[in-house]
Amino acid sequence: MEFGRRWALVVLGLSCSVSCHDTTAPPAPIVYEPSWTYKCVPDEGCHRSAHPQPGANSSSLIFPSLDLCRTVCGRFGGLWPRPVTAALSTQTVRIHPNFLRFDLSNAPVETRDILVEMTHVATQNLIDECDGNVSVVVETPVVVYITVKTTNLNLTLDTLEQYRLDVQSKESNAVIHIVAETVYGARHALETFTQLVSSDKLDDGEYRCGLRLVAGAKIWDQPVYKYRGFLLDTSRNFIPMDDIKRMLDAMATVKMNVFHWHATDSHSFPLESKRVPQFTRYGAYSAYEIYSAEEIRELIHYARVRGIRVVIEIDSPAHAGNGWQWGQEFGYGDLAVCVNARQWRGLCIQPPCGQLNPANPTMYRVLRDLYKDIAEYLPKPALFHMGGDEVFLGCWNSSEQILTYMESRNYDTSVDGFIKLWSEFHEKALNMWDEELTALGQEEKQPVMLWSSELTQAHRIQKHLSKDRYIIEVWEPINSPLLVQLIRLGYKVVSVPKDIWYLDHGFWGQTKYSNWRRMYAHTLPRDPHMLGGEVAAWSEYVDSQGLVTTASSSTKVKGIFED
Amino acid sequence: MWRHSIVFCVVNLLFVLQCVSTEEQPAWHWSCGDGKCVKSKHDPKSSEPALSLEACKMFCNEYGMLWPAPTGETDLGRFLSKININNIEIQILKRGKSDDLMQAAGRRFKGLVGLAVPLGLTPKQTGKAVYVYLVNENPDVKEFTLSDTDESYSLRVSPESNERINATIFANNFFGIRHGLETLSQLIVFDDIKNHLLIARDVTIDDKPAYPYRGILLDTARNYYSLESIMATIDAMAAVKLNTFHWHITDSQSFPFQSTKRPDLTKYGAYSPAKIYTKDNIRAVVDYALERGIRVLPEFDAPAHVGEGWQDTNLTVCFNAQPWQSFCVEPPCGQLNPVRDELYEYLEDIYSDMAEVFPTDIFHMGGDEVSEKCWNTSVEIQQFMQQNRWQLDNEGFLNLWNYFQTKAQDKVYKAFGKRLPLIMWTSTLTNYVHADRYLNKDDYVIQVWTTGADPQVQGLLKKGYRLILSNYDALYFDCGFGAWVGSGNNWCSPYIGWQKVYENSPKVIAQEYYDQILGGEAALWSEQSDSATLDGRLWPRAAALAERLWAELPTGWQDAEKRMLHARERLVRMGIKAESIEPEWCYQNDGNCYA
Repeated sequence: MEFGRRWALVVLGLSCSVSCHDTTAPPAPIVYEPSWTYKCVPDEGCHRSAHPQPGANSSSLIFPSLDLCRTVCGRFGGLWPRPVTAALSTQTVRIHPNFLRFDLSNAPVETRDILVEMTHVATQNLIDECDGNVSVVVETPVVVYITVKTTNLNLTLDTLEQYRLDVQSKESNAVIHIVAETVYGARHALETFTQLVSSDKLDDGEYRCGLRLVAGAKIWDQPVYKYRGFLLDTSRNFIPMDDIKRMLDAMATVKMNVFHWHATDSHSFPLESKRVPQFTRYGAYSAYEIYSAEEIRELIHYARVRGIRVVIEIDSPAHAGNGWQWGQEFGYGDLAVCVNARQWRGLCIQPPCGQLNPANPTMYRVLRDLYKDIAEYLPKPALFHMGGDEVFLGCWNSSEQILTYMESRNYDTSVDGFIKLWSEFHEKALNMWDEELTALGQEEKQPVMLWSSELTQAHRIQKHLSKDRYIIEVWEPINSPLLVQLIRLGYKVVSVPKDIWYLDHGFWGQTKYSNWRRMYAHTLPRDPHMLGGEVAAWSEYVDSQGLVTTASSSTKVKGIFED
Repeated sequence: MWRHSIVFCVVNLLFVLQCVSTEEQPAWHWSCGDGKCVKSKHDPKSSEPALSLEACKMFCNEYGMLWPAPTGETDLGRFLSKININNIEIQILKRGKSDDLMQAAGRRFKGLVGLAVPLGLTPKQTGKAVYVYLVNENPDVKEFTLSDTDESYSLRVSPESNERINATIFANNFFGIRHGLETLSQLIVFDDIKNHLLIARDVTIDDKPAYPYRGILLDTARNYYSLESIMATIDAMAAVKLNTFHWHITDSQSFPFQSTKRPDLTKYGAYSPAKIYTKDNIRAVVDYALERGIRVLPEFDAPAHVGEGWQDTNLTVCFNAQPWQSFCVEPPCGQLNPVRDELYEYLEDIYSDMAEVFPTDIFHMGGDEVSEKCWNTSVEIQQFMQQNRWQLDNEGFLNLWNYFQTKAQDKVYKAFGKRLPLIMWTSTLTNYVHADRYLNKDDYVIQVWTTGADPQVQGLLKKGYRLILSNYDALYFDCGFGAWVGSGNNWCSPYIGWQKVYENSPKVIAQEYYDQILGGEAALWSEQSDSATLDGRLWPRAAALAERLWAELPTGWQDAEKRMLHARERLVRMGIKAESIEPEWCYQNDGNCYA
């Protein structure tokens, strides 16, 4: 998995002949006194002074830095996403992380371990405001009292994420009260707390950086939608674990709560399965482009500390090829068909092709082993995504074995016959998944996610997919009626309209770049079945190099937190 | 049948312990057939020689993995020899004033060789020594001269003995030598099957660029770029043999250039004290670039595209005027007031400050998007025009602009102490119908930013002007994102893919006037870019431009695609965060990703 970073480290190692200039560090810029001031103009924002005003004292609405002005100016200051209600003082007090203390005595014992980790993240975020060194030291004690009402550590679609945050300060101290139902609500409050802190960079002959906290604040907040997701495709191009973690960091800052990991596709299979090592042996791009079991578990924990649930997707029965191409060699027959077919048109949406072989019982055995591993990875209660998009009937139609199997099941070779075959696949897959979760002690059956497809069309879905078991992720463009149709039929849905929330649009074919304003302006129907939305970073044109740029636009999706 | 499980633990220079388990990987190997490298599973028991992906690509294509493609004789031979990374000698045969540059190029070369090896792997320390001989005919040459700099080189690689390979680069100056080293570094690959560094053993390459001017424009005024990101850009440019870093250093939004003669311009005009390019900073960039065969071309855009920094001078008009749509193309507005004599003292000082730190052979005077309406807001300017018996119409304003341009031109010559060639953007002043009334074709080079099909291009060529092409329909790398004023996407949307950049042939655009084209340039206007996005905006698309301008091949992007994918991988290894252009699967499976 370290490939990208390994190259980067080579650069560091050899840097002075190649990549950094020989005169070492760039000369320090000449130092001017900090000169501009910024005035908070209600309803407009922060206006820079017409002339430099060195040494100007800040008054109630005039600030020595833009950061500081933006942190307090306006009803919601610098908060993102916007909380439901907020009242902020325009005054600030200096604080220092060394004198910041978190009091967990009002949090149940069971919650304290994870809360401690959450507070560490918050503290580190504050230190990072000063690029790692808060050099202006003040000894004002700052105490954050965290009250958590339940002991429940599960992250589910019913997790209560609301919180109250109250900041009060005097000359001599600052007191922050956080009240939340769950640790995840408390985490969101900590995130909001860090956004009430601004760096204060002084450059009067010697560079120094301090922190300022909004002196008084009352905030109440809860999300509108339960599912606020970010999809990352790690199959078209491999994304190193460190970069995935950076994405989770960014999600956490904007309170997104689902990391939808499109881990595998027909291109490559980087996800390690202990029970079926062939997946990565045959499917990973190289030995360095694999997510080990250990790394996967670590990532899931890393996400939880940031209030993020990891949903792993194993796309099936289509979008499966490399990683499944070893069946013949092991005497198992074809596990997948039309893998890497040269004439790909009609067999798949893009090269390389590949679809699981539903006529081969061994395929199901192998799939079950994979499910066992995934069931063990995922946090309980587990939310799993089975893919289900872009099944090409022509691919199955090209296999004698599958046609013979269909005959034996009395499926004709019309579209309906293939739909039956497809539906049968999902039924078997769901049963296996249920059994594996039961085997791990999960009592209640858990919902499973599927992409919208031919199978989920309004006239067809009820025959094949139970509304009690499936959450449908609708990726049709906004002018499609499907989303509303499915809601009316009683299906729970997640929306990711491709013409709005696909981050790869605008870089290929006739697709149009969806700018942040468009992403922001898009709203979802308000309905209990509407779980939320997601932005999708498909990775044909992105790998770890392009990831940050691409994903930065996604952080703009604020609508689904506060609408 | 599996490679044995090995765990590499490497304490790297950062003292981070890294362990990489290779698990039980099938060693894939590649074999060349029909111009494509085909992936298959490697059976170690087989006696067939197994090639790594890169070793296969070396000989599976006329140009191997070279980028840009050489333009003269190119014969890469048929054999790869194992070489010892610790045994590479560089010998400079003729000494002169460019010695320091030659040595720097040699150090860069060794660094590039090291980049071939993934960290954590240590290539076997066996294999032949490589002796690199640099034969520089004019070792005292270390300056560019527009259209006169000879960047050609010849490269010969041959086995000297069982222990030694000789690589000799012949060139007429440092610039050619440097390009030769860049090419040589692309002939060395790492073989992860044999865990060995390999070099193409019998090589003959004669090479020179099709166009003398091959540039990237970076606008550091709309948003500031860190010095590190500028240096990294120059490193990447050198890797693809681009030779001009056009620094659009000021604009209406900010003035980050340190003017020591007029310090208030910088003080008022920089976004913050930390966002200033000091003279020392600029000298460092210029030196860094020269070592990499790149000139740094400064632009002082005038008389429009000024504003911040000039607040207290009383020398601008309509600065930040509202509604901005009436006076300029984007906020904030601002134009110099050409009727004030004091302005020309300021200009001379700015040009002198630039001449002090940019030892350039050409200078860019900007000259784009001058607005009549802006100047027309000033009673003082109107009176001046009337005194000169100029109408307040198009022609009158062109006369005024020409008045400005003529005086500014003299100040540039005075500041640089020579009549160096000047570049201006296409504008109403450069309209071919009347351009020769204002701009002497021997003094001025015109940089075209309108479309390649714009009749202005042919018109200017017919009048004898030399052109640099930055036609926005192929070479504006800021296109395709959201608008930053108003809704929708930005004005020159959609995004321009690398294929279109590659196909943008100056030869096709200029036809019979081909030899009046000095070259081309990709422009990154920075309203929506800064250090955080720089690499992805420029790369790998600028590499596509580099091959077009170096080689001007009659073929299209399809023939270059396999090498392009490798060029992109190479940039990533250098630490450049280049955009991905295809799934890695396509890189590993030549010829399978087609529409």
